Amino acid sequence: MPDWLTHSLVGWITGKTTKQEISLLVIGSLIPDISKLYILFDLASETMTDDFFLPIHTPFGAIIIACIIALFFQDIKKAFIPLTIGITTHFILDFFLLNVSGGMPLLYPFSWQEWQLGFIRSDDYTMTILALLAAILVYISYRIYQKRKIKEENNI
Amino acid sequence: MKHKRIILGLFTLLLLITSMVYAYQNSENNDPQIKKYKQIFENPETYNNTKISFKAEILAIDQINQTIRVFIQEKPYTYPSVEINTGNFTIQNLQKGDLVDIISILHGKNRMTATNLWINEPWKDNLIYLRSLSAIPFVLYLFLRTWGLNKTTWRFERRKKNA
Repeated sequence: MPDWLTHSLVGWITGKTTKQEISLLVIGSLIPDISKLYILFDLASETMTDDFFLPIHTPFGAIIIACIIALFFQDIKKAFIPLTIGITTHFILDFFLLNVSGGMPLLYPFSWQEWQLGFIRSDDYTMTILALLAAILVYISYRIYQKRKIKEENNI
Repeated sequence: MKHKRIILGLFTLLLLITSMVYAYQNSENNDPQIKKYKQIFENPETYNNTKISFKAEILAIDQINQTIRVFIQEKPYTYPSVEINTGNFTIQNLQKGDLVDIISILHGKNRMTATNLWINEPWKDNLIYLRSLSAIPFVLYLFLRTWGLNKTTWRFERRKKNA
């Protein structure tokens, strides 16, 4: 997995550029990594629970969690869409990873076949730096755009 | 329907828990990587020149012959130790007990030649956790700035300044 910072930054960039609800999109971009809870369970119980949490790091499980989260909002559909876009950004980023133990079972529970492109190792922080630079660039562009818009409105 | 949300919530939660239990009980028998390891170690002669990748712990290093003996750190953790010819990779900085990621080609029973080898440095793993932790305040700020929980309806509502 790229780290949560990379995922949340890419979620933020996607939200800003697609004009979706940013906060929910960022939350969505972290949903699949709820599966990392297994680390805490393994530490506490000294048993291996990674297989139990595996479905959360699949589109099937992550979308179910997005459904559950969306139920806590007035407009379920309006909350569910940005959450799902966030989940999609997560899987796109993770798809680039190289994991020697195997990729992601993207079609679980219908297939156990695993996929990955194998370009970047998860401990490589290049992706984080790139995401950070891209976020700064988007932020500055957005500020300039906003200022121009206000100026134009004032002129009218 | 008055309790539509509760019913929908319980149904999705049940679906999630069912799929988690299913994965827990069946992953070892269905995981394609585990299946591949088992087949390779049971019939190594059939799988000569097959590419195999795994995480491993170094048991011994032979600097003269450029080989390392490793324990494969993959489920179910019962594979025999294998000898890997590291070829052109420098093994001077490797130590017994180091964790490595290896992509290799099988050459007979428990013998392989590495095509890629990475040392898992603990500081890099710790850095992933540190980077991840730094995202928590960012995400909480983004969310709580926009949404607040109405405790009577148990729904998140948009804060007025963001309405």
